[in-house]
Amino acid sequence: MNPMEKPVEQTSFRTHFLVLSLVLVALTVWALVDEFILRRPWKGYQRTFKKIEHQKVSADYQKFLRDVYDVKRLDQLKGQQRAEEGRLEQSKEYREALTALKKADVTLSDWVNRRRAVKSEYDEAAYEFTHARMKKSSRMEFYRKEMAEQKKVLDEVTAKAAEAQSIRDTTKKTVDQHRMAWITLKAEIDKWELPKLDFEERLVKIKSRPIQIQQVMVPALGRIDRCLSCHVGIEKKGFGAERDLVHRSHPGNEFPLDHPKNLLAHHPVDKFGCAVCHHGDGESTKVKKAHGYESNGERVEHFSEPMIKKEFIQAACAKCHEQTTKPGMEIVQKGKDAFKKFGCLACHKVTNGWGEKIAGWEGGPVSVDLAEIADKAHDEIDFSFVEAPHTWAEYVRQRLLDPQKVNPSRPEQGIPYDSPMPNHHLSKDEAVAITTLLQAFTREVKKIPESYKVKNGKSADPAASGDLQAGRHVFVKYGCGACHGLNGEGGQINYNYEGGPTKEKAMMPHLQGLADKYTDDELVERIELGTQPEGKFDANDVTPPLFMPRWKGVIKPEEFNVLVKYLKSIKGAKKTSDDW
Amino acid sequence: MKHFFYILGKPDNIPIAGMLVLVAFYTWYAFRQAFKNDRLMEAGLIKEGEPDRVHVFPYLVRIEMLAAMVTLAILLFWSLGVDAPLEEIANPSKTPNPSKAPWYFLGLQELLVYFDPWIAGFLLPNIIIVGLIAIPYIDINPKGSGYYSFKDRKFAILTFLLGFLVLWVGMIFIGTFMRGPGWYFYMPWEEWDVHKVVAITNVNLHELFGIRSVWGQGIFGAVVVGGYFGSAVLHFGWLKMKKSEWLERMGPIRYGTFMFLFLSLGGVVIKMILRHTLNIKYVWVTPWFNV
Repeated sequence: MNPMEKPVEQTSFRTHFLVLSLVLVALTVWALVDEFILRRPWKGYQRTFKKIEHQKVSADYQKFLRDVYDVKRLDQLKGQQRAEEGRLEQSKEYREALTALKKADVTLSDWVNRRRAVKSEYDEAAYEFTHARMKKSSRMEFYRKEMAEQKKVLDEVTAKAAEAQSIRDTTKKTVDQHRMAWITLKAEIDKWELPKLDFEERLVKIKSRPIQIQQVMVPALGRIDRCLSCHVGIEKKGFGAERDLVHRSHPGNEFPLDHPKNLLAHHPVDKFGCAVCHHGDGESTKVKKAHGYESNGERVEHFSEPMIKKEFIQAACAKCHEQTTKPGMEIVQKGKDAFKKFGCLACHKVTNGWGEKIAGWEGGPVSVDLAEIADKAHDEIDFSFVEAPHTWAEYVRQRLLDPQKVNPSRPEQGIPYDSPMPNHHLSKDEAVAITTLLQAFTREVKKIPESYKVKNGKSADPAASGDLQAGRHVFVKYGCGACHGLNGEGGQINYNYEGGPTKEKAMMPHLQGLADKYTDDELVERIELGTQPEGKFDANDVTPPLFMPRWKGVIKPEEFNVLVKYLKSIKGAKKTSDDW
Repeated sequence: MKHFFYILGKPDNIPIAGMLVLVAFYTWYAFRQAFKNDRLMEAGLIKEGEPDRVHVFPYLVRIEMLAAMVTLAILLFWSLGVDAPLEEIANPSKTPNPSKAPWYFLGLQELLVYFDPWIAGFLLPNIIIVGLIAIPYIDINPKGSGYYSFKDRKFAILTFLLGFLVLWVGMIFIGTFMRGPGWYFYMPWEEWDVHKVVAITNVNLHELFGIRSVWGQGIFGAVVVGGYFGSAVLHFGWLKMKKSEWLERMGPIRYGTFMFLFLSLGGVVIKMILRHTLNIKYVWVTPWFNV
């Protein structure tokens, strides 16, 4: 402890100041670079695209100059034009005609102005007269006389003006006749000159285009999209093969405007924006945040609307387009077909979001109502067993392919069994198709104004030849096959169901031999009531997760008639024992 | 420990991590200076109560300018490097658990464990603020002004450190790192389990003494609290008997204010201890307020 340590008056802080000043300078430079360059990637993209577009138009211009612009012919024509001009200058008749035209113009404008003045006097007199008449004034006669006089003058002047007009027209015709040859030549020349000027104008416009944020506001959809700030070429034609995807034009722009494949022609950016179809964060101006994906392909944390991947893009169409049998909606239609085929409706009915039934989508209450399933918040999904990227679409797609892998049992967390959703061994395409279909089940559909929607009526129930086929249609319509096997063979796992053979492998019953077990009425009643809950294999374990829904009031009486006929006719392989 | 680093790494918690480091550093540094000065004073090298002085300008001002530059540099670096954190779009049907206040209020949120909202949210913060304002008026110790010293200001320093380091910074540390879902205690390395249940049944003090009637509770509580603060009266009398010089200088008003604030501080600590050891909820129960 040295009491003689250097007193503060003598300590120098020079180095401290120097170092800190340099640090602050460095930080200021960083702040400026960050502000003007790093945080604004769209500036770079816009500059690059300007170059690309300029190059392209330049190339086209050069091609035009080389192949179309016939310099020799133009020179010839221009020579002829000059000769014609010379001739006109010399021509006395032409000069006389020009002078006459000038005079006629002057006379005409004089008469027109005179008429204007006279007409206003007449209008004034007319007003005074009408006014006096309404007031039943004594001056009425006086003004009537005034008005009549003014009308006379007006008629005279109008006649004179008309005369001057016709003189002028004739004189002009004469002049034009003289100039006819020159005008024809000009039209010839313009066939090449106008496109050339057009190219030059375009090149100047491209060069002088300012670098700024481009945004589209669509109040009807509640969206502000700034995608065009980087994707400058989206609305343009001819950039479909750019190496950098950001500069490409939208697919379909190469087709003519009325072609059905020209998507942007039918969905202009200023009316739709971009994000309503492609999702992502339209308001963001930074690449990762806008697209919703990190550079390793993982979803940006906490962001619920990352851009839809290409295979699911038709879900966007399904939000507005009801008719899925049209070209361009094949995947959604396939999704609908697969949805019906695998009987998803038996457990997952689809209401309108407020619990009201939608015709053709009535189903059972065993599991989640799929009405607004696409809105499920990402932070609520358990991605522990989902392969990257961790998005809603991937979760659903992988779950459809193998529900038990994505949602296995986890007794330590209170989940006693694997997911009870049956694994029908979907093909990869079917899983993608159903995911696409489900992605369109979103609350946003309600917010889109009716003017955006294209309703084309509902498809009718398929025609059936005979009761058995009609019954099969009902069987498929309400998804009975999801639990009882697509052909009534049973075999779907329902944990701890009393039918056994074991707790973990308890399987739901098959539908063979119903003719021997039930009468028609008994069978109808059995289906109407269902079984809730199902009996337990092991009385000490949990209730089976799946149960037979109550179909009373959902399946119509006439549908029941044909359904029981079909059920009683089921013959074939069984996957479960007869013991139920 | 993964969980601890996860909490530490959140952009929201950068100020807390920084605060812990800075508080620790400055406490140590101040004590270092204080002990240095104490040693100098003991060695007689500086007169007690009248140490060396220098001009504020330029000697203090230039140090302040350096400090401002350092602060500016840190803030610039922080704001350029780290974006403000945003989480998922708010979901009105899902309440976050735990729902924590910003770090500067975590101390008060922690107090809510021990007191009801009226006391913890209104009375105590006001007493804290009023107390801090009152310090210059009740502190009659002329020594320690303008220089660090521990032995000259032992009581004031210790009391302040109790109130600041233990009660304020400590509560913030607990609130950030050791409180999880359900506001249960979690060691910093424990995973947060939303399903955790801890058996805590709290009793009121009067129940321990077998008093059940409403009037009884009120009177009992008044006796306890009144007796606690009333001990100041006894202390006053005792000092008067001793003919304490300190009391002469303080005067009764200052003495009363000081004892009220000091006993409130101690009362908070005592209440916290009672809660953790005897599971005591309230010391004084009335139909209008609970302490």
